[in-house]
Amino acid sequence: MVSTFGLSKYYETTPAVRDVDLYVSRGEICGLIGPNGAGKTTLLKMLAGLLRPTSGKIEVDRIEVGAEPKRLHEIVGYVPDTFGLYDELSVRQFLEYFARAHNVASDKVRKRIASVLELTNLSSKLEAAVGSLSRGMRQRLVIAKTLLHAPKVLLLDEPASGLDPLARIELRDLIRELGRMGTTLVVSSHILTELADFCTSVVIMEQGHVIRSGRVDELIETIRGGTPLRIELVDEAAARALAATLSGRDDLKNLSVNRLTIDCAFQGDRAALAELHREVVLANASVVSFYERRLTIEDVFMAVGSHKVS
Amino acid sequence: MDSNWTTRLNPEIVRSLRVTLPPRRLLFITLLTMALLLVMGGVAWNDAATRTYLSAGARLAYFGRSIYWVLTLVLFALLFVLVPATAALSFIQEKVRGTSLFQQMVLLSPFRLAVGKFIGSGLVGYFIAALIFPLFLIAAITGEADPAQFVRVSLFLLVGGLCCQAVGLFISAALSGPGDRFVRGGLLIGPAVGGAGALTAIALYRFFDHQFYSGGIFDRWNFYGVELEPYIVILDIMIFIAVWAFAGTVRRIKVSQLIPVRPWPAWLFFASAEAVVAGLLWGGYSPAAYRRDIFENPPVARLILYLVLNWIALMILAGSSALGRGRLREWWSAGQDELALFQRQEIKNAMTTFLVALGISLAGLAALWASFHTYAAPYGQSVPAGIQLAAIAACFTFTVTGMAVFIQYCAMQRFRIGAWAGVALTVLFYVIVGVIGSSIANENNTAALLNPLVYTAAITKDDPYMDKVRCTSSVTSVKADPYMDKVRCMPDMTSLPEPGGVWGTLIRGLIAEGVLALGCFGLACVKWRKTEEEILRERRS
Repeated sequence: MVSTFGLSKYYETTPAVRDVDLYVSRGEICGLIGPNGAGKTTLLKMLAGLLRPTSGKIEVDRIEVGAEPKRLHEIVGYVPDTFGLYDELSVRQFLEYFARAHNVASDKVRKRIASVLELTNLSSKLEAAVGSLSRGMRQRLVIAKTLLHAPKVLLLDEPASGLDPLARIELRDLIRELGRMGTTLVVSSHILTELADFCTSVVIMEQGHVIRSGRVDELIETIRGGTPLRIELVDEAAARALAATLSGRDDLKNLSVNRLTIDCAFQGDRAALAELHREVVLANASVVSFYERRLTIEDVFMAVGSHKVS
Repeated sequence: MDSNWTTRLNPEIVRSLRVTLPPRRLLFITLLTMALLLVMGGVAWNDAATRTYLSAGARLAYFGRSIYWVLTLVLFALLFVLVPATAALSFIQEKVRGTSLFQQMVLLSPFRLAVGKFIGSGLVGYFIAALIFPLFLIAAITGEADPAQFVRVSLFLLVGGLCCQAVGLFISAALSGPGDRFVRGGLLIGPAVGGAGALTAIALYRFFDHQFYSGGIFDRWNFYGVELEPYIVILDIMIFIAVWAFAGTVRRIKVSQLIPVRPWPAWLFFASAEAVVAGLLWGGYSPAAYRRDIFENPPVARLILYLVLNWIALMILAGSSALGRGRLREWWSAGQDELALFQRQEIKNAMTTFLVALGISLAGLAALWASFHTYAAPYGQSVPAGIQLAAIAACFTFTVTGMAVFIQYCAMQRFRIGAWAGVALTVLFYVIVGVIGSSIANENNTAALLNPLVYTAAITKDDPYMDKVRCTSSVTSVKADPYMDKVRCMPDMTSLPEPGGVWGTLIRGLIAEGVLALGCFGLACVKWRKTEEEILRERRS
C-alpha cells in the first residue's frame, strides 16, 4: 500500500532521512518509532506529499508521490503533531469546510460528518465552538476532519503527545477501530508503550535511517536469543550476589542487573528452565519472583539502536 | 448561517465569512459604521451651518462636498490600506495559526483556493465600503462633484484597490511557502502592504483629480505612440498587475502543494511585461508628428530606464532560481531515480526561464531602439546603427549572464541568505565600480564602462537619434487641437561625435564586460565542480 525506495531528504546540508526503503501492506497498523530527530516527521510529511524528497521514490496505492499530488491527497490523510484549528468556527462548520474542500458531495456532507463524529466520539460537540474543545477532543476532531474523505491511508504524527491517560486510551481504541475498518495506518511516536498495544508492524528509525522494520512478533524473535527471564529479589546486595553466581552459567546470556531485578536470556528447553528455577529459589531465600518476561517493541528498540539523534 | 446556500459557494469564502463576519460582528460593524457616519455628518453639518453668508442651497452643497471628501478618504483607507493588508496576511496567518498544512492537502483547485482567499480577505473591507458607497454617491450629487471625476475616482478605488489586494495576496503566498523562514516577521507584511497601498493612492491620486484635467491642458501619456489620458494608462497597468499578481498567487499555491508547474506562464509574464514597458517608453517620432512631451528627455534615457528595469527583473529571477546546495543534491541524485529526474526537469525549466526572459528582454530592447529610429532620413552617425544596437545588446547580455553565474556561485557557498547574497554583492560591486569610474577624469574609463548603463550612454552620446534629439523647432500652434501648443521634435545634426572616440569606447567596454563575464563563469565552474565532488562524497559516505 505504501512503499518507498531509496528515499532521502536533506535540509540544505543536514540529512533528515537517508535511503529509506519501506513497505507497509494494506490494512496494517505500522508504528514508526525512534528518538526525537530520527526523521519520523520528515518521512511522514514526504509520504503525505507535503515535502519534496531530495531523492528516491514513494508510491501510495500505486500513485507516485510528486507526480500526482492531488490524487495522492484523495487517498491519504495526515494528522500533524502540532496543528492549529479555526477556533471561531463550530465543530459542524469546521467539518463542513473540510468536507467541501475535500470534494465530498453536498448531499453527503451531513451524513459523512455524523459518521466521523460518531467514530471519534464527538457527536455531542457538533455545535460547540472549536476553541472550547479540550486538547484530546481537538486531536480527535483533527482525526475526524482527516477521515471525512475516507482516506485509504492515514498518517498520524505523534497523535498521543500532550493527551491525558483517558484521552490516550480513547485514541488507542480509535486507531484500533480504524485498523479494523481496513484503513492502513502509519503512526509515529517516541512513546513505545503506546504503540505496542495496537501496531502490527514497526519501523525503527535512527539518524534518518531505518535500522529495523517488520512485523512486531518477527522483530521480537530476532532479538530473543533465548527465553527472556526476569528474577526479582528483595534487596540489591542479594541481586548482585545472585547475578555473580549466575554469570558463570553457559545457558544464561545477556545477563544484566538493574537494582532489584536480574534480566537474562535462557538457552535451554522447558525442563532445563524448571531446573534453573528450582536451583535459584532453593539457593536464595530473597527471590520474590522468577518469570518468563514478554518482550515488547521497547526491547527491540533498546536492542537494535544506538539511540542517537541526527 | 444556513448551510444550504453555503454549500454552493466556494468553501474558502464561506469559511472566511464565518470567521471574519459572524452575525454578531456583522451587526457590530454596521452599527459602528453608522454611528461614525452620523458623528461625521453632524460635524460637517455644524461646519456648514456656521457659514451663514452662504445660501441654504450653497450650504447644502458645501456640506455635500465635505462629506464627499471625507468618504473618499475613508474608501481609500478601506480599499487601498485595510483590504490589501488583510490580503497580505491571509496565507501567513494560516502558517502562524498552524492550519497551513491542512490547506496544503485540500482538494480545492489552486485557482479556487486563491479566489476564496482573495474574496475572503476583503470581506470586512468590502462590507463597510458597500455600506458607505450609497452615501458617497449621494454626497457626490449633493456636493455637485464633477461627474467625470466621480467616475475616475470610483474606477481608481475599484481597480486600484483590487490591484493592491492582489499584490498583497501574492506577497502573502510567496512568503508562506513550505519553509518556515518568513513566519516570525510575517505579520509585519500586512502593515507594510497597507502602507504601500496608501503611498500608491497618494502618489497616483492627482492623475484622477479634476484639477489635473481642468482646462483641457494636461500631460498625455503615450503607449506605443498613442496618446492617452494618464488615468487610463494607470488603470490599465493596474489591471495588468492585478491579473499577474493573482496568477502568481495561483502558481505559488501550486508550488506549496508540490504540484508541478509549467514554465510557459513565466515566459508569458515576461513577454507581456516587456510589451507594456516598451509601450510606455516607445519613441516612434517623425518630423511629421507633433509631440509635446515625448522627448523631454533624450531617447537614450528611456533606453537606459528600460535596461534598469530589465536588469532588476533578471537579477530577481536569477536570485530566485539559483540552485542552492539543497537543489544541487536533487540535481546530482538524478542518476538514481525517476523522482529526482522529474525534479531535474523543474530545475531545467527554471534555467530555461532565465534564458527566455533574457531573450524577451533583448527583443524588447531591439524594438524600443528601433522605435527611436523610425525617421528614415539618412543622418550620418559615428557608429552604424546596427552595430550600436548589437553592442548595447551584447554588453547587456554579458552583464546579465555574468551576474547570473555569479549569483549561482554565491548560491553554492554557505551564505545564510543563499543566492540573495549574490544579488547583494552584485549591487555592491556596481556601486563600487560606479564610484571608482566617476572619480577618474576621463568619464569613459574602463571601470565606468563595466556598467552597461554607462556604456549605453557613452556609445550613444551625441548620436542624432538617441541623444541629440531635440525639440528644436519653434512652438507651433496646431489647429486641430486648440488647447495644445505642440513642439516639433527631430534629430539634431548640429554636432556629431568623433567616430574614432566612439569606436574606441565601444570596443573597450565590450572587452571589459566580456572579460568580467568570463571571470564569473570561471569562478562558478570551479565552484560547481568542487561542490559536486563534495556532495557526491557525502552521498558515498
